[in-house]
Amino acid sequence: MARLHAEEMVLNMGPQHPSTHGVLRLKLRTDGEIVSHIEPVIGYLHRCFEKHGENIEYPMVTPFTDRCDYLASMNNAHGYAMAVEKLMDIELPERVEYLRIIFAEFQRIASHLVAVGAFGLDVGAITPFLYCFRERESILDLFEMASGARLLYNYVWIGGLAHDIPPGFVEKAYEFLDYFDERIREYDRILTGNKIFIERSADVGVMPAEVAINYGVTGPCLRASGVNHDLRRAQPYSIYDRFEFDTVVGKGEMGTVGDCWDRYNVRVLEMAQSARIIRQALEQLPTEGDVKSAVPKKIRPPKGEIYSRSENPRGELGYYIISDGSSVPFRLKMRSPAFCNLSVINEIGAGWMISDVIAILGSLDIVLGEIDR
Amino acid sequence: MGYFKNIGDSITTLITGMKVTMGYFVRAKEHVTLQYPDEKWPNPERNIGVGELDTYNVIRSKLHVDIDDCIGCKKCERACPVNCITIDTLKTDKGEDIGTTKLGTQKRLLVTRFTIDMTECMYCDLCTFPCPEECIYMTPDYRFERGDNKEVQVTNVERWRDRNNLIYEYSTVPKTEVDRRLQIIADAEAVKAAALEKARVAAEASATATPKPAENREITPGSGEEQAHE
Amino acid sequence: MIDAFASWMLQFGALSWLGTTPATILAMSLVAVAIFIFVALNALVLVYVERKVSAFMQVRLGPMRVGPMGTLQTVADALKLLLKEDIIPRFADPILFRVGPWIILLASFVAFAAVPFSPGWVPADMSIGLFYVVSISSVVVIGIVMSGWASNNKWSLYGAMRSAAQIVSYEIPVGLSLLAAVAVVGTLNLQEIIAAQAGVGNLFHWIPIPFPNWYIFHSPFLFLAGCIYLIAATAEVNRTPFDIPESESELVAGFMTEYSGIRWALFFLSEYANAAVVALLTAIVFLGGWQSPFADLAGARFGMISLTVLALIWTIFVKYKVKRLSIYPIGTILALTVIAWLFPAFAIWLATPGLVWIAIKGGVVIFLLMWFRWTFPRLRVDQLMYLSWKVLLPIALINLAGVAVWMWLTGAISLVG
Repeated sequence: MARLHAEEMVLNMGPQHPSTHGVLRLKLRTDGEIVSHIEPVIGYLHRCFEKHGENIEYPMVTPFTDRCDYLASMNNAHGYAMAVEKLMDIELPERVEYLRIIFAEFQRIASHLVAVGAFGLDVGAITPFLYCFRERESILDLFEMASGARLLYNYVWIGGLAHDIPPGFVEKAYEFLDYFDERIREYDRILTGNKIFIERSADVGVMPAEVAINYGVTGPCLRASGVNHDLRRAQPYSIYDRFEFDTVVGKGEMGTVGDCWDRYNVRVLEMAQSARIIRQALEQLPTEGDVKSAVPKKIRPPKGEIYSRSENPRGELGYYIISDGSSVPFRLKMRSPAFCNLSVINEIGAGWMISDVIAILGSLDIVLGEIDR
Repeated sequence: MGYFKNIGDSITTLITGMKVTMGYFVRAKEHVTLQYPDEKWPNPERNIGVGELDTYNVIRSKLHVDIDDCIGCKKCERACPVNCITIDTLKTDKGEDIGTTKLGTQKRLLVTRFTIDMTECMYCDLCTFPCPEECIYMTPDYRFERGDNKEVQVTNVERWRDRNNLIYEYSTVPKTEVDRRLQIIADAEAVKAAALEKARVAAEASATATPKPAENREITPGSGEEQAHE
Repeated sequence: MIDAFASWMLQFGALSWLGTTPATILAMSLVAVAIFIFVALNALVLVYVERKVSAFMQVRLGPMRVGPMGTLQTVADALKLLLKEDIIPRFADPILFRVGPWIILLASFVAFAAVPFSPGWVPADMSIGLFYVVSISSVVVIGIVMSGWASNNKWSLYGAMRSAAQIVSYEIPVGLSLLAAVAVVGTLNLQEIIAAQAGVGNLFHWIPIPFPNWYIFHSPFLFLAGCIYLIAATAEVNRTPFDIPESESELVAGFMTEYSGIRWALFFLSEYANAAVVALLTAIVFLGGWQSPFADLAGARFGMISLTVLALIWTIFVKYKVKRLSIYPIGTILALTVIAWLFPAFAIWLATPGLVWIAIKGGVVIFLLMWFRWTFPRLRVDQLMYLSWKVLLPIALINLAGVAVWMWLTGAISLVG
């Protein structure tokens, strides 16, 4: 009997596809439902961030860093500001540091909310997504209160902040945190513990620690694989050494360590940890201090270069800046975590079904603005 | 046994999830929807927020200039990362009084063009801080569809880009006034050039001299085009 | 019903010149048109209800602009779909692409022919009604595969293939769970199945709590059969958590990817018609169809007790859960209970026409389907098959045996007889 001639089909997922989280294109080689090879094609959202950065002055770069990872603008601007501050040796006022931490952690919660909700959406649960967005809106309200914008804040400046927080902000922040603890339990009830959800995500797309490290995966994805590496702990930048919090590590409660469920659950638990950090920061927040006192009049870093890294909701965000002594960076390189996280997709996604590839992609939590820059 | 435990788990966890959604269904009054044209977010007061604690929170929805207070220093133009602000100024005559700003500064330059291209603006707020007169600021007015901006003198490239009529002109100097002043400057320059020419001829006759190039940076009509080509 | 309608038309003065055969044909077409209108209105209403239910579950408001509380939104949407450009992809199969949606609609539409809406109100009172409905609704899969293949789109093809696998697998648990009820009643005629569920009796035959004689309360096994049927039927009408043929986050829109405008509206129409058929069938086979639970004195007693329990639950719920104590709902229910206790006749009066009861029961089932849809994630293809072949099928089989044992225990059948 002649062997049945079977060919693999190349399936273009994206750039217009509901679950590619932006304009990502995945070239899937499929054998029926089974995907044998995944090739991400990126660049649809390329906006020349790095080249642009070589043409504008240092403070003008901040709004563009916001636009790279638009779900974590505060963290991005924080990382960039830290890099330039290190280059210029700026000592920041206490209040600025605390406010930066508060906003960074709020942004982490907001970003994880999108990740958690969108992962639910990817596996077919629509309702948790809207619950997550409801909470995210409350956080955006806080951001709007402080900075005047809801998505792209340009709030963290080199050497300070754009504004001080308005009166009533701290109370509202506490109010939100009290409300938010309840909500995390609600996500657990509707999604985390849901049997169908567990079936869809547990044991799917297992990323062993070795693979994660080899591919340079960072952030919640790395921690879900059981590697206890969080820059906030491993190399405490800003004032993270003053807070008590646990780095959440995937334990494989529902399946194997490093599966989609772990990556999801690490984010859920990290939100609670972020809330914990915010509470401590709000308690310790100095009442006095001008948030702009350290903002330099002319930002003209001395000749030299710097690599500064920080923990973004997606992983390790690095900025490499070469200064030639002028007010414009000579070279600006951004190490974007989602870019490196996406590179592992073929390794962990090949061999699974189309539905699983969607789930794996969702659990990696990529933002195309940051991948393509 | 795992088989039956799985089934049992499924039933209990699914019912737990269904309880959550049913809870919200019953308490439908807790909805978060804002019925937009009928309800709106609270609108903060106008302010630009340098200094005082209670007056700085402004929603960044539209860039606005109090043109009467503008001294034409072009600091905002330089601060803009996307070059959405274009300012042309003309020197006033000696002794001419064109008013003072609200902070009491005497205006020295006539702002003949102050356009903000809201298609380009990225609402970063970087232009509002350098302003010495606190006259450029973000307003919470997000309604661009009304088309209340004035007729703008723009280059063809800009007009092509501005299909939504979103280039806002803030300068209030009438075109005739601009033309008059330009004419005066041109006349003055012509006189100057003639004098220079005369001097040159005279100098050539006697010894060597270099004529100075005419100063006409302020009235370059092509500045918009340079910006558009970036 | 057709014959009755035809003879009524012949007796009617202006139409008496018609012969028997033309009168029957006229009656048939009129009934068909009526059902078609029902199918269309059903989709309009259900789409609105679904949007509202989903919105309320998701702390939103849903459509609010068109008409009071957005009630005319679906009408506006339907109008928009009608006016849209009719697009057929260039490399699609032109004939199959056009025919596909119609086959799907036809299959779900024709299933209504055997559905009894009220005593005597059944378009075609056939002796194999249940069998007919179940088999004709599975014709849908042909249309789905046809349109999925004809679209010449890989996503559509995936959707069609998944759909074929899914519907074929889930036919079996559906059949077996319905068979459990059929084993009890001994007929496939839907009217007779409903008639057998009249009155009020004990819960599960022996527990002395008055419950309607519906098959879902007939025995634990039939209760289980009802649950299996609901799950399998959810899969058969492609609703979450089994909506893998059109799973929007994976296959864009599955077999509907290339469709737009009126053809897409046909898919929608048939989707909701299918949901209605499934809901009505659940109501007929397991919930007593058009039978009112309060039809006689025993029923009245059941009504009183259930109303009292409801009032108590509601009071407790309102007091401890909602905290915003509102007097009106409690007051209404308490008043209703008092009236029901005082005047049994009033409770009997609650036995409104069969059409209303079957609508209520079907509505409850459809609400359940919506509730599933807006709560659960979606299963994967292989998990779907696992559920069908390894969970539902064995349980349904054992359940069928259990029904037989139960009937022997309750004396409905004897091994010697």
